[in-house]
Amino acid sequence: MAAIFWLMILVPVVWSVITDPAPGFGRSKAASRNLACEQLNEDAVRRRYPGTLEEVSSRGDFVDIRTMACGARIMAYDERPVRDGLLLTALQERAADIAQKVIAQPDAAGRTWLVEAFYPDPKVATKLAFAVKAALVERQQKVSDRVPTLAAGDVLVLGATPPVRAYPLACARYQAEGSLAADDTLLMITLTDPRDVTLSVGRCTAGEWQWI
Amino acid sequence: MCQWVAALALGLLASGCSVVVYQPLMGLQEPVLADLQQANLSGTQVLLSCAAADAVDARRLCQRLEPLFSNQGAVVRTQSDAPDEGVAPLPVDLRVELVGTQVEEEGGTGSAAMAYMFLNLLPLSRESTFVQDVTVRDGQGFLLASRRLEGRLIEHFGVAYWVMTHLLNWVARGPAEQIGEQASKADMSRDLYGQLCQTVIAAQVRQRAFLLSAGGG
Repeated sequence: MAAIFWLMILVPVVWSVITDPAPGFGRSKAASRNLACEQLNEDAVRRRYPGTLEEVSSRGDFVDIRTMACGARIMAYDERPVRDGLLLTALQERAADIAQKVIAQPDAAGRTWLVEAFYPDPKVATKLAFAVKAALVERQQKVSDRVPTLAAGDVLVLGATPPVRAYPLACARYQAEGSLAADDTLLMITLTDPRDVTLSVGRCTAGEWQWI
Repeated sequence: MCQWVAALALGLLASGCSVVVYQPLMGLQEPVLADLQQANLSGTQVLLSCAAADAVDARRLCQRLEPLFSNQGAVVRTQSDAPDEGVAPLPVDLRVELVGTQVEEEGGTGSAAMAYMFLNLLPLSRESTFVQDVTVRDGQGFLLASRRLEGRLIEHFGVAYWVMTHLLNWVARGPAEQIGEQASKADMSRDLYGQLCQTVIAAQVRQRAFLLSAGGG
């Protein structure tokens, strides 16, 4: 009888401990950290996971239900460099934010957008530029995959110029060499500071440089 | 009689055995990008303001953050610091506001009472979620960064859980994987203070980006 009593107490407890997303017997700290968990109230659970909760009885339910929804992260935190991971985890939101800022410009209508991203890792730069182009297309903007070019001498001079002066200078050179058409605007996306993933966006239109 | 006294003494001794586990939730599980050993906030005038349901907790948080920012080169003041009479208020570059809330959830004090009542033989647990809202504004009140950091603390009662945890800590877990109150405190402090610093650094970077876009260099 005592054994049954202890089993009735222990089995649900052991089960809840093993399935709990917190570190413990069933999960290491690293594994727990790589879960994307959020606390949800009853309304949120019913909206996002319909059918998982029983319907409230007609007499009302006096239990305050809170639950935790966890999903595995697509990429674990230690699988790629920290900065790349932080940037790519919220890439869509960052690209949408940039696109929103760009189309909010007073002369945005009818322009063709060319996008270039400057980031230490060229693969991440390509992904960033692609995401911004996709976000602009989603907002019914005209986007070109054309890459404006500069002469070798210009590249050498720009490489030795401080970034604050290099962007306006590059913009002027693009215009002088005819790399940009009259309705083209080149967007340049850069990492503002290596200590954070804040991105700065500048635009080059008709030889004039402007940070957005 | 002796057996009963021994059992009671053992039970009372065991009633202090609980295991605290910390789980980082929103924001706290992210890695920190900035190197906090560097002078990230060199010369930045930071005004700190902390609020929580418990005023002592709020004051303690501000007291702990002050050296953390100072060590990175910031000049830190807390909101409660009364300005000297007749002296013009010092300029502020960043206003950091922290609001902490602790949400008591499953178990609560009832679980602890039950655990002590049954001499810690029953496997019970209580958990709470804490939320730290951090907002960083510039000297004029313009919002630069805002984040919500959320974590969960679970306290497991029961001698069996305590013994198993300590056995695994001793046999199978490395220093970084240890579970217990001390390890939970250390992990939580590292995550919380790291993310708070990262948020302030992000705000400073954004402030510079705004200056750049406004043509201020």
